[in-house]
This record gives sequence, C-alpha cells and structure tokens, in this order.
Amino acid sequence: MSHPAETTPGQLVAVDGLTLRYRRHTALAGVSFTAGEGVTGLLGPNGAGKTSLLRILATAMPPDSGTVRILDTDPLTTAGRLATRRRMGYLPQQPGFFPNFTAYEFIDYVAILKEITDRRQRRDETLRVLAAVGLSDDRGKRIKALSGGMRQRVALAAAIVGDPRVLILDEPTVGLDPEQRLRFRELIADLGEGRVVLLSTHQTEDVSALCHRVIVLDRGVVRFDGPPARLTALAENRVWHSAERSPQAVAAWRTGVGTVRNIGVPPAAADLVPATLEDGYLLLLDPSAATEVAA
Amino acid sequence: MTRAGDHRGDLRVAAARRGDHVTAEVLREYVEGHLPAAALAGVEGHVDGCPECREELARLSPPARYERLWSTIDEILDEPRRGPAERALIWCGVSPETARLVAATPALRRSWTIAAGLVLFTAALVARLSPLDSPSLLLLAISPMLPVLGVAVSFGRRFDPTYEITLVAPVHGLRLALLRTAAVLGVAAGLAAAASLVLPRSGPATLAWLLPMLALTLVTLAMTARVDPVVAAAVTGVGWLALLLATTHFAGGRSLLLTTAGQAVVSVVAVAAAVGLALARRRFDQQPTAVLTP
Repeated sequence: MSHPAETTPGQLVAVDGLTLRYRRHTALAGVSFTAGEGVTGLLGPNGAGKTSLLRILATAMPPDSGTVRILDTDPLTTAGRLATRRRMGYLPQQPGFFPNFTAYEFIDYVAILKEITDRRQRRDETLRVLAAVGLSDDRGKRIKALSGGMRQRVALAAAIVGDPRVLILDEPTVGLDPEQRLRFRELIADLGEGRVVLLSTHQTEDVSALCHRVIVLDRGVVRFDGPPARLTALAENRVWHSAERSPQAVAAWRTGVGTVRNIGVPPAAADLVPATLEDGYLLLLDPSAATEVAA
Repeated sequence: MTRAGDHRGDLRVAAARRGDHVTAEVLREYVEGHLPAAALAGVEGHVDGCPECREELARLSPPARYERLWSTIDEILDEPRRGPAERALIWCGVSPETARLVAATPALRRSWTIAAGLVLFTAALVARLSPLDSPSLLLLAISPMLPVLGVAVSFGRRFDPTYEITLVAPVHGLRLALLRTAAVLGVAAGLAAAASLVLPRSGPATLAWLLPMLALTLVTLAMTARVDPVVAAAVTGVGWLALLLATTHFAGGRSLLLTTAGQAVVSVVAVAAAVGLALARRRFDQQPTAVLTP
C-alpha cells in the first residue's frame, strides 16, 4: 500500500500511487507527482490517462487506489472534497453550455453553483471573470452565437469564478486557431501567477510556451517529470538535418526548407541541429530509443 | 399626473423605437429621475444602442451620476432572463438562486414539458373513449413513467450539457439531485392530475397513479447512485411494465395496483427507495464508478 501523499511548503498538490481501471483497460498505473505554484503541463498521447488523472484531481470521480492531497486537504474524503471544490476551478475537456444563455447568464449560473448567493457579490465576480478573459463587451451575446474561441474563454471564465487557488485545465487550447491559441496562452500564463495550474495538452508548443514544469504520461505511467528544458535536453546531439531520410531514425520528416529532420540515429553527411521539446518528447515515447530518464 | 406622465412616456418610447433620437428634454428628465416609469425601458434601450444620445446623456449628467446611471443600465440589461418555471418558483417563495438551479434542469425545458403533457392528455382521451371498465388503467401505466424519464435526462452526461461543471461544483450532491427531482415530479404530477380531469369519475382510482409515480421516481433516483441514469430509468420502466402485466387483468379492467393492498405495497416500495437514497447520499457527490467510461 502506498504512503499517503503529503504536501510540503511550495507543493500544493501531491499525488501518490494513483491507479484507475476501466474494466480491462488500465488508465492510471501508479501515478505520483507533486505540483506547486505556476503552470505544470501534463503531456502525453491520446489515451495516456491525462483526462482520468485530471478528473480525479477535480473531484469528478474517485481513483481505485492511491492518495491525493490538494491544499492540505484530502479530496477523497467527503469533507475534503467539499473544501477542495471551494478552492478549485476546472475546465473540462468538452465544456458544455446552455446555448440560449448569454455569456453573463452562464457565468452567473456557475457563480450560483459555486455558492456565491449574494446578488451584488455575484455580479461583481461575474463581471471580474468576464473582464479577465476579455469578454466584457460580448457578455450579452448568447453562447450559441459565439465563436469556438470565445466559448472556450467563457469556459475559462467559469473555471476562475471564485478566484480558485488551484486551476485544472483539460486541453484548453484544442480546436483553437493560432491567434486564439496565443491569446489563450497569455491568459493561462497570467493565471499561473500565484496559483497552481495543471494543464493537460498533447501540444508540445503549449508546454514550451507556458509551463515551468512538465509531466509526461504514457499508458498510465509517468515517463518524465521535470523542467521543459530537461525534456528538450534528452534530444540534444540527437537531431540531424540531412538530404536523405535515416532508416534507423526514431522519427524523420521532410521540412519546409527541403531537408530531412532526423531524430535519433544520424544518416550519412548530416548536420547536427538544436533540439526542440517536441524532439525530446518523441524520443522519450519511442520504445526503440531506450532513453534513460532520471526522475 | 402619473397617468398623463405615463402616456407622454409611451409616446417618447414610440419615438425612440422609430429610430428618432431622444430629445434633450427627455434626457434631462431621465438624469433628474423625473421620467415616468413606463418610458424608462424604451429610453434606456435606445440610449444603449445610440452613440449620439449616449454622448448627449454624458453631457447632461454630472460625472459620478453618469457612471452610476450606466452601471444601473448595464445591470438591468445583464439581468438573467427568467422563464415561466423560474418565475413560478420565485413567486412560490423559492430563492432566485435555487430557482435558477432548478430551472436549469434539462427535463424542465418547455419542449419536454409539452411532450409529457401531450402524452398524458392523449392517454386520458384514449382511456375516456375506450370500452374499458376501468379507464384509470392507462393513466396508471403511463403517468409514473414520466418523471422517471425526466430523472433520466436530468442527471446524466448525455443530456445535461453542463454535467461536468455541475459535478465538481460545491453545491453538487444529493441536495441538488432532490431539488431537480422534486421539480420534475411536481410538473409531472400536475400534468397527470390535469389529465385525470378528462377521465370519467371513477372514485379514488382516478389518482391511483400518484403513489406509483413517487415510488418509481425514488427507485430511479436511488439507482442513479450506482448506475447511469438512462440505465436506471430503463430498469425501472421494464420492472413497472412487468409488475403491471403480472397484477392486471386488462380485459376486465382490474388491477391489484388499484386496490388498497396494492397501493400499500407501492408505498412500502417508495419508503424503501427513500431509505436506499439516504444511505447512498454520499455517492451523489461524484460520478458513480460503475458508469465510468474512458
């Protein structure tokens, strides 16, 4: 049996030995990590267990085993769950809305769900979060008339109602165009100041741009936990540009400038080039790369 | 004075709606708080969409007052619109916040309520025109299933678009489930009672659907603590049909469920379901493990 997760100063979220199974499929196979203030990225392919892990942390469902501590409470107990919900914001992978509500009405509704019953306080908070996501001028529009990016901002506004200390964002930039994604990254970076933000994504650009720390999950197991620069460093001296594809490369593709980018084993007459976070991630997840990763 | 003032106000509103600008005199009355109540909405609506009138209003208003006025206009325009169910709840003394939570129940949408009403009144009409000795039977078979379907569409991720957000909200839990179920049950019972009026008088049997309705709703809600609400509703529905078939002689129009003994058994089931619900109350805090999907 695993030891109870404990938070030490600076570690506001601690997870130890989490397991979860869906019938025959293992979603989480003993996940442990800690997180403090700032944006921590959860990176991994589809089906890696990111959403399951975030849903457990968001108190949407219990794990099969393991322990969790969030802001010194245990969300797996009834009292701890309520305390956690009062200090946590959650943006689910597929946030739903009442399409006929205006953005203001929806946030007002979420504020009621978050126990803000005083009318004046609720109005102030609704206006505050809508301003924080840049939707003050569009708050009277019905949600069904908003673009995908604006709806995602409504969902983010809903997550930050009540100024939560912990923010859980499940793939918040998926489906956004490049400009909207940039805008969203700015918002998330701002929210990371003085808060714990756990952000799941399968886009390495999000991690490079936002996260001070990255956890790579693969098939329910933590494969990497550290700063993004260290994930990038895994591919140092292992990325090459050449005229031809290397048959032994972990991954190789022709780039826009005509050369082939090879990761792993270099082909003949290749030039060593600087590695990116994506290169490190691909090497980490490739079983043939046999990368040794120090935890 | 008020009537004449209101009349003048109406004319000003009409002018504003025609696209004419609001006159300086009206704006001054507005700033000074002398504009008749009937004219307020029209003038505010026009000023909100008209930059020129906004500028004129700003010129006529002392800065602090102008800010306050705008804030008031904003608040009025932002105010959530309330549907008939929500207004009715507030009228009954329910707090606006609770009324909002209840009115968001998927099964209280107008389309669902109208469909449920149509089903019941059709059943009542068919029963009235049928040669059965006991016309209450059809209503007895159908009425209890309506709130069961309502529960199915009110608590699952398939029908509630805000399921995931609601699931992790501090107010989530048995209290919210009971509030929404009570609203669904109240609407269904009201519709069934109205449909009963269509039936020829057959004594207490006319209202024999009431206890089964309560029992089936409680059974379904108690089951949602462990299984998906749609599965819970389906199991309850099949069980109800089986019970009806086993206890009813349709040709003769007789059913044990219409007797005092039958109603007593249904009451026992309702109480057992209520106890089960109370025992499983903590399970309403989260998504039941049995219905998890990757």
